[in-house]
Amino acid sequence: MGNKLLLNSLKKYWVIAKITWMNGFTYITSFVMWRVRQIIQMIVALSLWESIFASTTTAFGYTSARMLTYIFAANIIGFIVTSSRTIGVSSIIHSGDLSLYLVKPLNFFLYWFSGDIADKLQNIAFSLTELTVLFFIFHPTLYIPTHIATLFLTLLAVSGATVMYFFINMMFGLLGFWTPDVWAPRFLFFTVIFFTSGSFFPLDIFPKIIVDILSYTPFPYMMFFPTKVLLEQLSSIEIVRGLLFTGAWATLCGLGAFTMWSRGIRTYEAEGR
Amino acid sequence: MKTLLRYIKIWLLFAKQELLFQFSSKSSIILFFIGKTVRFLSFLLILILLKHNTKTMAGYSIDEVIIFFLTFNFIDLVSQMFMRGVYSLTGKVRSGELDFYLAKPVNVLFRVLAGSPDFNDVLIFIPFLFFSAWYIGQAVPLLDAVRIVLYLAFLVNGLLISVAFHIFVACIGIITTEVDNTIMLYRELSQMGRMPMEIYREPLRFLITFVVPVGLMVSIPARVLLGKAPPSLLLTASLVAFTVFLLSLLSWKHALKMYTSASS
Repeated sequence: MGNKLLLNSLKKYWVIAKITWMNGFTYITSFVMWRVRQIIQMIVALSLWESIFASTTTAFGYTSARMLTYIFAANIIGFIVTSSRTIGVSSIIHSGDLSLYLVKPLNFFLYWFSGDIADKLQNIAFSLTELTVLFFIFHPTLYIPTHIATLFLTLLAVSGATVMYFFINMMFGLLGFWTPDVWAPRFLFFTVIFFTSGSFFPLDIFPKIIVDILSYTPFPYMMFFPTKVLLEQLSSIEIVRGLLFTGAWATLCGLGAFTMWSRGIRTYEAEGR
Repeated sequence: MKTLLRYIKIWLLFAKQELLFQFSSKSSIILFFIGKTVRFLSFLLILILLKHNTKTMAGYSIDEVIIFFLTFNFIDLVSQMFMRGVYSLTGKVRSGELDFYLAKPVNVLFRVLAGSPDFNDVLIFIPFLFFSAWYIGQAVPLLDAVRIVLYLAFLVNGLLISVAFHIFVACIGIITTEVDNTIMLYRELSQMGRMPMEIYREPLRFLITFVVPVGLMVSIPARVLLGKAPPSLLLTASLVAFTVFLLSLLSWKHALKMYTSASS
C-alpha cells in the first residue's frame, strides 16, 4: 500500500517533469536563442583566457591548458546547477494562480523541483553537441579523474549545489507574497553569482583574503568547488570542508525557503483572481 | 523641426510617467543601482588583476582593454536608458495592447523603442561618465580634439547599430510573440564587444564584425581613441551601420504587416 502511494506520487512528478520538458519547446525561436546564449557565454570566457595565455605561459598560477580545462568543466557543472524554472514562482503568487496549485494534491516545492530537473536534463542533452564542437575548437585538456571516489564526491558536491540553488531561487520567488518587485533582488543575486561562483574564472585568481571571505558564502559552492573536486585540485581536508559548507548552506537555504512559504501562505489573499 | 519638438515633448511625457513608476519602488531602485555598480566594478577589478599578471591581450595593453570596456559600457547604458521598452514588447503583443499604439497619432516604432526609458541606468550613468572621462584622460597619451570628435562620432555610429538591433528584436517579438531570449541574446552578443575583437578566432570575428556587427559597435570608437583605426575601417564601419539601420527599418515595416492583433 505504502509502495503504491510512493509510486503514484513519483508518477505524478514524472508527468510534471515531462510537461516542463515539452513546454521548453513551445517557443522554438526562444529555445534556439537560449542555446546560442549558453554557447556565447562559454566562447567569451574561453577566448578571453586563450588570448591572455598567448603572451604568457602562466597567469595567476594557472597554465593555459589548466585554465581552459577549468573553464570547460566549470561551465558543464554550471549548465547542471544553474538551470531552473523557478523564475515563474513570484508571478504565480502575484497573479493569484497559486490558488490552482493549492487545491491540487501536489507539493509546491516538489512541483517546481520536478520542473527544474526537466530543465537540467534539457540543458545537459542539448549542451552535449555544443560542448563537443567547442572542445574541438579550443582543445582543452580532457582531464579524467584518477580515482573513482572523485566522481562520487563531484556528484555529491553538484547535488548539494543544485539543491542549494533551487532553494535560493525559491526564496526569491516566494518574495512575491510580500512584494511585486522581485526582479531587482534577483538581478543583484545573478550579478553577484556571475563574479563569485567561478564560471567565468577560477576564484583563486583573487587575492587570498577575498577567497577566504568568499569561502564562507554559498557562492563558491555552486560551481568553483564542484569543479575543483572534479579536477582533483583539492586536498581531502578541503573537500570535506567544502562538502560540509555545501550541506550547511543547502540546509539553511531550505529552512529559509520553508519558513518563507509557511509565513507567506498565511498572508496570501489570492489577489488577481 | 516642428515634428522633432513634438516628439521631444511626447518623450518627456513618457519619461515623466516612467520616472514616477520606477521611483514608486525605492528598494528596487537601490538594488538595481547596487547590482549594476557591482557588475561594473567586478569586471574592472578582474581587468586590474589581469594587468598585474599579464602583459598584453591580443596585442593591446590592459589599460587599452579598459578603454574597450568603458566604451562598451557607454553604448550599453545609453541603449538601455532609452530603449528599455523593447524588453516589454512581448506582453503588449500577446495581450493586444499594441493595438492601442497603432491607433494613436505617434510613430509606433518610436513608442515601442523609446516609450519606457530606464532611470535605473541614469543613476549609474552619471558617475560612470565622470570616471570614464577621468580614465581616458589619464590612459590615452596625446589626446587631441580631432580624436575626441572622431571618438564621439563613432560612438553615435555604434549607437545607430544598437538601435538597429533593438528594432530587429522588436520585429522578432511581433512575429514570434517571444522576445526575452532574443533580447538577452543581443545583450550576450554585444557583451562580446567588452573586449577587443582580436581575442576571438575566425570565423567568429568576421561574424561579429560584419554579419552581426556588435564588434564594430564598440571596437571602432575605442580603436579611434587609441589611434589604431585605419581610415578604411572607419568607412566600412559607417557603411555597415547605415546598411544595418536601413535593413532594420525595412524589417520593422514587414513585421508590422505580419501583426495579426490576434489576442485583442
